[in-house]
Amino acid sequence: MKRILPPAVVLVAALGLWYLASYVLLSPDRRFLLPPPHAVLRVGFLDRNNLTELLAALGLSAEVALLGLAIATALGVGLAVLMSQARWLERSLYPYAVVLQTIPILALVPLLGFWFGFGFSSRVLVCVLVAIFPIIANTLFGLRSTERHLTDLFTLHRAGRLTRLARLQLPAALPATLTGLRVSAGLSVIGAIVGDFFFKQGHPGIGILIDLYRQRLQSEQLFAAVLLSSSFGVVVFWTFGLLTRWLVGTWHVSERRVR
Amino acid sequence: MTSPGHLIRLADLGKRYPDGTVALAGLDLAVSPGEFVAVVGPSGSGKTTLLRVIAGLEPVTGGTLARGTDDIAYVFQEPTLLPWRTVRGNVELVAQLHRVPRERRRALAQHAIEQVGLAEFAGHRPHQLSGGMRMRAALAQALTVRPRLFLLDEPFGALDELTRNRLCDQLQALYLSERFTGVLVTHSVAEAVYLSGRVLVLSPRPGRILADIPVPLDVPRLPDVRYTAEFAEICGTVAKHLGEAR
Repeated sequence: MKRILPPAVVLVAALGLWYLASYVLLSPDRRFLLPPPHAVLRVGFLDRNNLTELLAALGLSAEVALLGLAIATALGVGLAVLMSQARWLERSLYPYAVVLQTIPILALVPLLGFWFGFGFSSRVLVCVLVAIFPIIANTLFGLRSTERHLTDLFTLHRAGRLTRLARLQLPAALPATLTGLRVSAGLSVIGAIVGDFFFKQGHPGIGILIDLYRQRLQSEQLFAAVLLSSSFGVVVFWTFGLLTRWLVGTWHVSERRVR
Repeated sequence: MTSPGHLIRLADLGKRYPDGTVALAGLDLAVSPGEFVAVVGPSGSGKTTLLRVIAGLEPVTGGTLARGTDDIAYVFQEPTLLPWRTVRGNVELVAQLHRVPRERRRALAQHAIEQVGLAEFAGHRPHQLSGGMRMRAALAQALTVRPRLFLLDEPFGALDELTRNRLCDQLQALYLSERFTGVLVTHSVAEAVYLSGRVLVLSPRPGRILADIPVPLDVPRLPDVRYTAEFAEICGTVAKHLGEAR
């Protein structure tokens, strides 16, 4: 009860403000700028056709985001492992990972379109590009922060690189990797929607729908689409939180309950 | 490599770290198989470096080091336990690194866990154990591969006196049953005298051996030996040399 009440109060207050803005601040002919919550619910979610359209688009965006995230995870962890093997590798590769993080992705988008087409693969690529850095950075940090006495133990018993990686470094890095993954999951969802704004070939993702509703001034559906994609982001974030608890909850400090 | 009769032989050994710190200089030491030697010395005298050099974890930068075995176990100041593994998994770790087959590994771990009295806690993770239990788990881990040379770096330093004394007795019992060669680094003069056949006193940095004091007390030693005049006299001698070292 104590955990549910405060956010519930905030929700009610926000809905109240929403109604207030809709009915008091806006005249009826400008109400399309902020349709009241029940209108969003009725048009966006309770109308079967509209809902089907939204859910199909969300499904496609989810596919793009999750595929992008999976690729970013495999590639990111792989690169971090590679960089952890030798300082010179880290010195050669890490600056480019940083560059990847700092170039404005929107500036790259037209190029990606030329190279990879204006459809599914470019949308996935945008997700990979925005999601990969937190995974590289966090995993590398985790791989590097194994405790000295444990490293010594492995050295003493002549463990090879692979054994050291599998039995010591990767498990030790797991909490950090998962933290990166949680950040990246959110970014990947954003990437999928941003990608939709530029790559419109094939079935429409939720970003394409948002753009479409904007053009047609269908603000109830626009709001419904925004709400739906936000909730998807929240669900993804929450899922990775659960995953973290499930994977490292029995041993890592961050997940240990205070007794 | 070793001269006959010695398991470890260091001659004119020197260790300088890349940052220029000279940790050890002109150190001579010979340890016979089955001997248990304790090393005491002021803080920063290179005791830990000495153990690391003997273990091969640090390269020497002068003199010679000869070691008659590669079957080494090392108990570090902090227990070497992986937080994601249970006690059983951790005790198996060293045997696993030595590629001991699973069944054999299980049996060795079970035996070692029983030797240190942790059978009830085999399924617990390190954070669920007390400091003393964690150290016992680390001891068990080291024992699984039946080391010929056992290096211990202040293993009980972080524990309360009662736990320390109890672990000392367990270590002594393990020594008497396994008959490994031991080198123990410790801050406690009483612990050094209680456990060892001789006590080496190290000088301040750069460390070399100032005194080599035999401990002619009968083994096994019982806790009460700590209150005898003979024990006190040996402790006094060690403490005197240690005082000169500061």
